[in-house]
Amino acid sequence: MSTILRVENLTKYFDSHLVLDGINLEVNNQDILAVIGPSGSGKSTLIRCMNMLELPSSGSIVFDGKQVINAFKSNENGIGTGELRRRVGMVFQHFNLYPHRTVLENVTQAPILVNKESVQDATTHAKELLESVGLVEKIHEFPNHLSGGQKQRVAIARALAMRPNLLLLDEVTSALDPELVGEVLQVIKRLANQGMTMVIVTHEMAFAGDVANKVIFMEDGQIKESGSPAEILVTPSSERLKLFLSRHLR
Amino acid sequence: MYQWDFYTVLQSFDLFLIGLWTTFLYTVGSISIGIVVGLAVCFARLAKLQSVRLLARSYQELFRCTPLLVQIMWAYYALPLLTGYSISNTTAGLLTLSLYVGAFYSEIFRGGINAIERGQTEAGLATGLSRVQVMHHIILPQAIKKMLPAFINQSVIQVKNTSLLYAISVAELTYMTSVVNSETYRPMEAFTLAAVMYFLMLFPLTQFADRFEKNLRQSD
Repeated sequence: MSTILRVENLTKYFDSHLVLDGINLEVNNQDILAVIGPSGSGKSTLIRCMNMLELPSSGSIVFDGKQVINAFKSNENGIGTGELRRRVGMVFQHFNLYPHRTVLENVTQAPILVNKESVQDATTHAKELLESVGLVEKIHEFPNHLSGGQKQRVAIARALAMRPNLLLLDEVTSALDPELVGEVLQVIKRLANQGMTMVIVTHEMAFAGDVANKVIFMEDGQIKESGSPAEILVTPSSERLKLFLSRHLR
Repeated sequence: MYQWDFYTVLQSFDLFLIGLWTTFLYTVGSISIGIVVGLAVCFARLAKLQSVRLLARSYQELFRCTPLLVQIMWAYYALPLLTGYSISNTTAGLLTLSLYVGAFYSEIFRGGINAIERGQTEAGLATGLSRVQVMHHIILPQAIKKMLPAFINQSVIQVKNTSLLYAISVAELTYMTSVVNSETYRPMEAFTLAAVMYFLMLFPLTQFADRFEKNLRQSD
């Protein structure tokens, strides 16, 4: 299995506060890595470092064998944030759809602007994606007219429109009403079955156990345990993890 | 009982028209330059370099915290003493009005941009857009809608502020009205007419701003 993303000795400070403390991990192609842990443990900061929305204080991100640099354009020193983000999709907790654009325009914008796809090609692809997330009849609606679950499915389609090598999902169901969580998880499950490589920060332990092939448990900015879903979720070794799971596995 | 006599002042209606036209030109000119200045200063305020931010901030405060009339007088009477070059009333007037309104516009623009939540920028960046593309395609289209009511409001004030150019004898509407007054000795009619003209120019604008703001609130 080839490695798509590697995180090496990553630390992150917010002012003097240490949020990530020496993180090392590897994501291989077709891996589904679930990141779990209490709030404030650094999960979101970690996933946001993976596409440089947060800049590491030290350590490095290596994508597809190349060092990620803090510059938009790639150069001889490594891969720039522009190329990195073109190839790594992200879905956010609060969807962050563009309210002034229709569903279709939300999905086609980046392929047209960044990948220079023709409007026609981008539209055809967007319609396929929106169909696959069950929203083809909403393409001309504005995001404000959609439910939370629908918004998040559009956001997933928007990320997929760039044909990413890796998809980052940052607590994508945490802002949803409970009855809308299922429809979004179902879409992610299908992506998993199609072999999409993903990093998933989540509080849905059952879901993590279901789709992931690797799970890491974070606390205080460190990876405290990592392993297969069975090792982490079924037979946790540390007291902290047992306590955490007892609160989250209902 | 005062005897109204509009006939006398209306004989000088061409003078009012000259004034109206001049007011219009100074308004459009200073608003156009003011938009460019305002955008530049707004982005300077959002710049990474602290010295750039500080410079922009100083400019804003200098022009916002001194009276426009003082600025006009200063540009026309004091600036030539300082530089050794005389300056026409047209240049002094246009320059001051533009810089004055630019300082206010820059804050309106900045407020509009800051009102757009961070997640919008992140979503754009995360799909590979550059910062310039994010600003152009995602932030500005949303920010312009938010800033439009305040922008129109400031522009309405700007139309009225052109009347201060009276002090340096620019032939705008207020100045021309005073010319008519001194020729006809009918201040009541002359200045009433001027007021009506200003009102007719601005009332539609404020109405539009109100309606726009209401629509905006409904669509949110």
